[in-house]
Amino acid sequence: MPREKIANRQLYFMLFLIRCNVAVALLPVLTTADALQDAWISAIVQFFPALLLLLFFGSLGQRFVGLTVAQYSEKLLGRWAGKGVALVIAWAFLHMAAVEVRAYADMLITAFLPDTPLVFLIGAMVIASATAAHAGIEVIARAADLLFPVYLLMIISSLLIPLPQLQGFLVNLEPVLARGAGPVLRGAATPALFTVQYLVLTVLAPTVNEPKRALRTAIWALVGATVILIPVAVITVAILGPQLGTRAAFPFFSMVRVIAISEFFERIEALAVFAWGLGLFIELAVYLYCGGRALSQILGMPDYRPLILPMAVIWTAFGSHVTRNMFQLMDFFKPHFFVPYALALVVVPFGLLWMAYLLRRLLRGRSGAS
Amino acid sequence: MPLKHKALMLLLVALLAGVFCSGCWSRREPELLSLVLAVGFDYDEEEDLYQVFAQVANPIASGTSGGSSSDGSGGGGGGGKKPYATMEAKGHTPFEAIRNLIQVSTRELFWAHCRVLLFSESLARKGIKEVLDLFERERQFRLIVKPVVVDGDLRKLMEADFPLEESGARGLDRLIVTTRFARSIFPEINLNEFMVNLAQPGREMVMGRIEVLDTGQSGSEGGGESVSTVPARIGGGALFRGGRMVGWATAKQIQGWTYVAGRAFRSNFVIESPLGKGNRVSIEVLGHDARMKLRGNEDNWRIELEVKLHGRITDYSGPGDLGSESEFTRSLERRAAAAARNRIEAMLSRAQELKSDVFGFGNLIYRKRPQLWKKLAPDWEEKIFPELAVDLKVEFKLLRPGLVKEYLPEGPS
Repeated sequence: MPREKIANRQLYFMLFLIRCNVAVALLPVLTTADALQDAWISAIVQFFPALLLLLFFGSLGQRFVGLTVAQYSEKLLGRWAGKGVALVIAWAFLHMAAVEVRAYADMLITAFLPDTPLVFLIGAMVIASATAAHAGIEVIARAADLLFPVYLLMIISSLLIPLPQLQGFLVNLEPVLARGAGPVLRGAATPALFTVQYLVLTVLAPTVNEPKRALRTAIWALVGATVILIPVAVITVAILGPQLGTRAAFPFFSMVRVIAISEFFERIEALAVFAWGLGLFIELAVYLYCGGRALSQILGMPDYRPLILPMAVIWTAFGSHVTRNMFQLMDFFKPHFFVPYALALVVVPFGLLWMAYLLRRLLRGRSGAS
Repeated sequence: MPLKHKALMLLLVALLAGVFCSGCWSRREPELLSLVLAVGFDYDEEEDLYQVFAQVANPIASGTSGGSSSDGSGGGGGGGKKPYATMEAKGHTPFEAIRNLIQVSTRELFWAHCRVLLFSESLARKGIKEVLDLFERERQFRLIVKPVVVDGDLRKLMEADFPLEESGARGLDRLIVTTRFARSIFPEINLNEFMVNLAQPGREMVMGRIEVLDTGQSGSEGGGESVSTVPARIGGGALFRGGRMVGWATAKQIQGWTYVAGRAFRSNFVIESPLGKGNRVSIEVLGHDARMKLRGNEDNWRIELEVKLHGRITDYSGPGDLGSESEFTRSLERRAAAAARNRIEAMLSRAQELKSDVFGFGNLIYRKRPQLWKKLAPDWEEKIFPELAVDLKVEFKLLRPGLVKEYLPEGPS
């Protein structure tokens, strides 16, 4: 079976969409804590721990070029422990995907389709992305090529359109840092830990044209998403005010709803919702692909494709039941829950892998010296 | 893929298509909808119920009124009908009241096109927070509606006809927009701006005022002299404290507010010419700029308000040399500045009387010195703001004389 290859550019697009999408959709810098008017500082601050985390799990993969995490964890930890660790990471993909598709479906039900069954919305999204995942990573990457400019155009235009109104609203950003650094750091916690999404890198890296530069590509994607997140936070807080911005369930969506330019140019929230849906499609397809790929390697299967359909079914059910209601969904993203959870998903498996790796080097170094 | 599989897939697709043919779950057929153009909320004190008025477009009538010379299908089906209808209902909460409208409406109401939100004075004085929350929470409402407080009978205004417009709601909407661009005596804000400002610490809000005029259609008692041909006049505003209206401000006072709040577009006032009595000069103000600053330290702070205006003469028929350096021009500028200052001071003293910080001085302190605000906040509304002395500087620049330089001379000279 020929190995599929994607370009680093395509990896960049996919990772950018994955991160940008959740940052724009839920605007966690604003909604998950009490950063209020300082949310944009949180948007800057979150970059640094996110980068650290990415380096932490990304750089290990750079030492095993051409191998996915499922493969090198077996090498490092032995057969069974390695499979166990890889399973944790596969779980991370499934859970993140379920939570994100649920958030999207909840938004659609709240704002547009109150009578549509949840499972229908989730199922439709899952069928689309499962088809893409079945077609392979090359196909997903090409879809990302196509959708990235569209996505960017939609987000940027929904940021540019309110700009003429912005001047009178900038007072809403003051006072800056009035309550000290605490709220800012709390606001940065959840978005920083969203780096758990980038675990897909550990599966995707071997399929990239230049696997050695995969980590660098991921870092640039992180930078790009942060560059989008900062103006989104500034404009949303300015237009909605810190109080309403924090109270809104989907602040960016609410912000786009109140844009009205000179009597006839209004109701442009379709832009934001479309962008969210397009980004989500890529996101889910990548998760599903990575989950399937990792699982097939854990199970020792030659191809991941037979796994996609059962995974999609499980995932649809999981998406419908991952939270009981929207209140629980919002609590899930609160730092006191999300931070330890996401941290555990990253630190436990990769801490083990790093320890094994370092021990091995140490032992090998000693044997080489003697 | 083998042929057999393909056929199976096709069959599956065909079957699935049948599932979706029944339509969407949340579909809305346009012919079953009717668009709400304006909504008004009143409060019935005796029954403790919210009362809602909705002005709804009548698609049958508005369709034919546009082209009455066309073939007139259905024998002038809507010819005699008004292009809109007003409905009312009551309920314990705003949402219940709106849902109760369904009992009297033959079509499903669609709210996304609602442009004007009216509050009766009694509801505004009781508090409008519940209505605001409904507009924020519900998906069909949009925060870009324009909120207004009605001085007079809300029902009458909701049923009123504007001579130049198809519907009353359109009339109200246009009234607000035209006044905003020409006069600056009406705070034109949308609901989002109103709520954002209200939520900020140390800042209260102003909402526009619509006065209902007596058109003599119903209940007129022969007093034909004061009968008006238009149903409403706008100007002035209602001052709020939190979600509760505390009092009215006149059009002049609101003009002062728009200068400071940076919401003036064009405004005008009349001053006496310095040369001789009875010679009045109209000034139109075209440029507005206001800066608010907090000076001094924690213990000894003061607020400085600097307003810079510029404009032109729009009518004047007296003598005077309008040179760039002439004393006459300087004098006109001083008088114009004084007139603007009067308006601002009038608004300030009205706001202080009602203890409603509509200029956002408290918010200025909160933004610039959060620590100081923490100390002042508990006493701000009741003690500090009503006694506040603001350092007000008003400057006016006369830039243009208009299309002529001098007035029309009369007789031989």
